Amino acid sequence: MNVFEEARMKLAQLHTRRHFLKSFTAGLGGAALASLVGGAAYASSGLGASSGALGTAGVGGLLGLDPLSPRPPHFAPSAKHVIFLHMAGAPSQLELFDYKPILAKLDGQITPPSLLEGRKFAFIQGAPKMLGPQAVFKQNGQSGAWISNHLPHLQTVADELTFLKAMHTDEFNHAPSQLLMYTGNPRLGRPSLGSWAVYGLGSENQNLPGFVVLLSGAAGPDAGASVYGSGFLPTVFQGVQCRSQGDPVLFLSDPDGVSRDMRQASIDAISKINQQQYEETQDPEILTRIAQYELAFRMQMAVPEAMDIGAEPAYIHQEYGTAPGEISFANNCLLARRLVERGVRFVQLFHWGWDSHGAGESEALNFGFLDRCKETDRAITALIVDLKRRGLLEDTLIVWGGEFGRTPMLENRSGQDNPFVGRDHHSDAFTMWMAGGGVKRGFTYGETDEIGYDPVSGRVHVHDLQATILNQLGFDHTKLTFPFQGRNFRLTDVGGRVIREILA
Amino acid sequence: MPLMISNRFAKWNLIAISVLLSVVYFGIETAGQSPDLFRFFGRLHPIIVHFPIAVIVCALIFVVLNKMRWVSIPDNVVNITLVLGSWSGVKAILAGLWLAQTGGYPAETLFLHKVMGFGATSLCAILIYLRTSDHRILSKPVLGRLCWALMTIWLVVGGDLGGRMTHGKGFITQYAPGFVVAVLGQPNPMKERFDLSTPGTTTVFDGIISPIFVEKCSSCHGGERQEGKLGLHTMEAISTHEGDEPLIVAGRPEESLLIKRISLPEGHEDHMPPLFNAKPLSFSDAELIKWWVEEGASFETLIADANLPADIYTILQAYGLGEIRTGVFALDIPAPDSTLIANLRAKGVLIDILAEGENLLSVTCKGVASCFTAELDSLAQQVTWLDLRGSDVTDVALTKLASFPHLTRLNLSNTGITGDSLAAISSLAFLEYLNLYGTKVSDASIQHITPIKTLTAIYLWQTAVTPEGVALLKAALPEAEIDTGVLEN
Repeated sequence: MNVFEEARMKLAQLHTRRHFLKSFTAGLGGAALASLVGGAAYASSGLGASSGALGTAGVGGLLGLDPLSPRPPHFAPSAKHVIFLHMAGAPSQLELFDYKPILAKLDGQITPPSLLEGRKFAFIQGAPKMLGPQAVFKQNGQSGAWISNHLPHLQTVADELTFLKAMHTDEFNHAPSQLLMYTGNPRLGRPSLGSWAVYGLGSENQNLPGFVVLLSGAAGPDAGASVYGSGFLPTVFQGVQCRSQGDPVLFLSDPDGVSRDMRQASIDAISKINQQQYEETQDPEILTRIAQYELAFRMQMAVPEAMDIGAEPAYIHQEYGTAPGEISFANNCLLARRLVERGVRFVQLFHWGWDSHGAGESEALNFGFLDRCKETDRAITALIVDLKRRGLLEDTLIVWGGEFGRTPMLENRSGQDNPFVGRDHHSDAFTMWMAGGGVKRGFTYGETDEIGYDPVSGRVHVHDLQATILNQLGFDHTKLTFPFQGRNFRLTDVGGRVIREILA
Repeated sequence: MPLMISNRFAKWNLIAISVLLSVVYFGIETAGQSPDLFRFFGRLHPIIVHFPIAVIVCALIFVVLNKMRWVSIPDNVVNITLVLGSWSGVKAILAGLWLAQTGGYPAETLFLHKVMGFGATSLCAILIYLRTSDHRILSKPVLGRLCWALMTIWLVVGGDLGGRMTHGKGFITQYAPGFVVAVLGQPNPMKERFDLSTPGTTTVFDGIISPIFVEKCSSCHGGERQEGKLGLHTMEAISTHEGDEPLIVAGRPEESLLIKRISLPEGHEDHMPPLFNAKPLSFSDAELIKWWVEEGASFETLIADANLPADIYTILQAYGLGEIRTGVFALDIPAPDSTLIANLRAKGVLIDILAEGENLLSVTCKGVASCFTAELDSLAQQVTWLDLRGSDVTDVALTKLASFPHLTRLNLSNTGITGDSLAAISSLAFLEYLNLYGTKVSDASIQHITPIKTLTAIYLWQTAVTPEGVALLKAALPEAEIDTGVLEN
């Protein structure tokens, strides 16, 4: 078999039945058939073709279109940007926002069996002791929101926040719960929240990714890059990790001995070949590849500019507590503002080390947890204030939370005298908060029982949170779908309710 | 010897019935409140009344069948049937009079109903007399036919009036097929239950609450009958109701008799609507009524202006409430020229269509030199969010903004403007968001925006505006939040 025969063989293999049908729908001229197989109905990026772009079009719908060009959502949005601050490991709501004085009275008592029946815990075994709040709480602002002394800065902006006090999730281990939070499903393989957003909206800034991920802390999220992956969506929609130290984006700079001009020439040549290949095979992933090469080239200039926090004035560093060149959550908060200013749709921050079991110093509520609070409190507050005075909080939705909550009981894994206190994973009740982006200000939705063990009102599932975030971006979460393996998938699976109670 | 209805019998029958009816009528009407036993008998009226109707219809069928020569039923049998009809009629009238005494029935309808009842019964007795008579004139068939016709009409119309008083108007036609409704000319209240198509001009009461009252309450508390002296069929009837307990306490459903009665357990004897003889309120109906009272029981609030909590919104959505459009979204904006958009995009101007099916645009001119081109001017009707931050826009260019009537968000931050020409935008009728941070606006120039009463957010961080200037602005625009970048607590 010579090289030409090999090429023809390869091409024939690429021509699946589906590609055949797609390629010939235009010839058949049947609009119905075209839409049936996701064909060429979706033409230009012009105004007329913009409606109906979402949902039904899918992979085929992206034919002939730059996948990152801006697209209108289902209805007028309240938010154009989202900054999701994820405290990986799950911070304790009982030490930060969910004030339970009765729990303090019960401190040290053995948990009655009635509270443990039918419950699953990650680590707690037998009958644990109750653990009172390891913090001093006070009410703040006009809204009187309870925030503990661990977050003294956040206390000053309490009136900007909407608390969801009765969140619950289905999973009690980190990785599945993080996957559920971001992909709507506890197993691998689904697109993440930010990917859905960029799939729906395209990117505002054509020189930067629409979905940027910033990591800080000793490790990444337990579920790995899947929590910002694109799943079955074209990979152009996956989150791009930008680093605050070294090259912001790996493999972006020109290799030694290759000039920018040569780089441009080679990318042009590769794109041309890819274009040919696409025309022959109609594989939409090739379009994605072309878009990614070209975006990467444009990013060579735009990303270093956006990521250079050294350009910020001294008072900004003072407010955020940032130091250029470090890897820190504070730096990432400042970067988040800079990225949003430059039109990035979705900025995902992960901070690590909130898994306060109390099995060691670094993960104890009375040690490591306090460090995590200090690392984040000032920067988060500065981010809210900074976005607000710039008029950006109006259309930027900030979401804060972990993947689940923590138990009102003490977890003492070793069963011995332990100088460190901690709590186990708890999926039935935890607190998240939002700010800006068209949600109410100084508002609390949902309530837990006297010990913060179960919701008593305003119970909100992770899918409800996702539906609400998409709603603020202008999407009906039931209609933002993608056809895969024979059916339409969506972020919220078969659940989700927009939490209208918290919308301004 | 079998009973033969003679003319003589018929005469005495007629006289007896006439006398009895007169005595009974005047007796009951003047006697005042009757004992409970009679009232119990009165409640049986809706049951008893069907007997004379059935018997008289039976006699009519006999006559028609005889006439058609399909059967041969002796005249005497027909006459006996009519005698039974007349006397059961008397019984029904007696019960009816006692029932009417319990009150709550609209006087006019009740009077007509009585006339029909008395008339039909009397005609029945007269008919027997005519049928047995051998008088030259009285025995003429035309008189008999006239009697039959009049009696039948009065039975049908009188029966319908009775039904209306017990079940409410439109009871029969409610579920009737379309052609029946068309023939009878009755609207079908189930079809368009609530009027939610024009939330901007329909009040909550007219569009949502009144239809529930009319459908579920007005058979007993309506124009034709007012049990407990309560009518829920009109605004006037509700607002003028007087009782021991207030029917509605605006904003306090738990103190409103209306809400108390509909919230009682179903088995409770005071539960409304009553389990017998009424359509129950659905969960949604009860929630909507409570919501209306909670929100002040207003007759004027428009649906579009009402505070719609999430659960109420969900209920109304199920009844077809579309998106409530206000402000610029309520306007009819012409579609923008797509080639203009393409040209501007090619120059680097970011243009987003606000949403699918909308003609409004969001325009961002960051990093684009001299954004105010003739092309952008041509999109003036469509641009509602205009982001000029960091651009080279000048005070002179700013004057052009007056011709962008549908602006709701305007971002001029980090530009060189001094604000002297801000007066030009004071005519903008929808502007909510104005970002002037990082500009040279001053205490004096910022006051140009005070006529824009729609403003809700003004950003003045890093400007020359002093706390005094902010205070002046705040006084003129109390609804607006003015952000100077300084934390208030």
